[in-house]
Amino acid sequence: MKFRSVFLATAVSALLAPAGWTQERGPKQVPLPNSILLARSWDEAKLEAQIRGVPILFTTMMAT
Amino acid sequence: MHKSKTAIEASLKVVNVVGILDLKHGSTTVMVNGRKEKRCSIVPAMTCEEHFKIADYAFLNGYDSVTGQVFVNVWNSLAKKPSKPVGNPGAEGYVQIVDEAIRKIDGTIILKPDYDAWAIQMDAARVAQEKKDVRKAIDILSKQTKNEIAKLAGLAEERLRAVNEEGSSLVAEAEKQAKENLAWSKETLKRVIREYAPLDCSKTATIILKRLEEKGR
Repeated sequence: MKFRSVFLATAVSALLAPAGWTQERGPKQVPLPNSILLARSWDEAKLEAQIRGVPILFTTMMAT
Repeated sequence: MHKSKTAIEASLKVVNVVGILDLKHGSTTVMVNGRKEKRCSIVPAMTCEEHFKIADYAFLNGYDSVTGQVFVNVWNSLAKKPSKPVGNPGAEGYVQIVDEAIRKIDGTIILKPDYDAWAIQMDAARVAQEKKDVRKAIDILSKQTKNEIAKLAGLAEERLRAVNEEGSSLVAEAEKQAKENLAWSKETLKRVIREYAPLDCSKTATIILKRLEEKGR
């Protein structure tokens, strides 16, 4: 079980690993150098996606 | 993927969300704007509660129950109609998913840097309004009405109209109360003239104030 948790953490980190912190920006997203910016809720994602006229990309891991 | 420049560039064409249905992997403390904040140890861009809620919504709204690996899929801008998840796409696969999703979009899209720059200004206007600094909010919104992207300029105009309506309500109330409370009415009109310039409500307030002062002579 512990191995699995470590694997999950490593896999997601590989996808989104932060390398540091800069300034928090509006609306709520935190830019991480060398990483993908993430919306922090579906509401925030919907608002941005509708204004920009773009789709939402969802990435997940089920930790089960 | 995070090291892939092309994947990061591609990510700017869409809105990205991450959901993890687990709350037991622990949190970490990070510095954001010089402030300590508790965030997820796997995805420090958010809290564990946030990524749990995101995953919960996805699984309640048609996300296929898949397990074991990183999965990516596309949702429309209303966060509906999820596509079939693709497992571990890697940087190239991710770019391909983004490009395919974008190809299906009709009309123009707004790039993330443009949206973010606009959103920061709209946030600043909102904060100014909350702090009752109407003049500052109007200045920010007025600049955004000249945004090169028509849709963003239009949304700023909409917000500016709402501010004008707020000022117009004050003017209407001041006019209504003039007989019973002339001093308050004049003060309110002066405030609208001062704080809501250069909006129409400020010009209306000037006309009404002048009329009230002429009557008082």
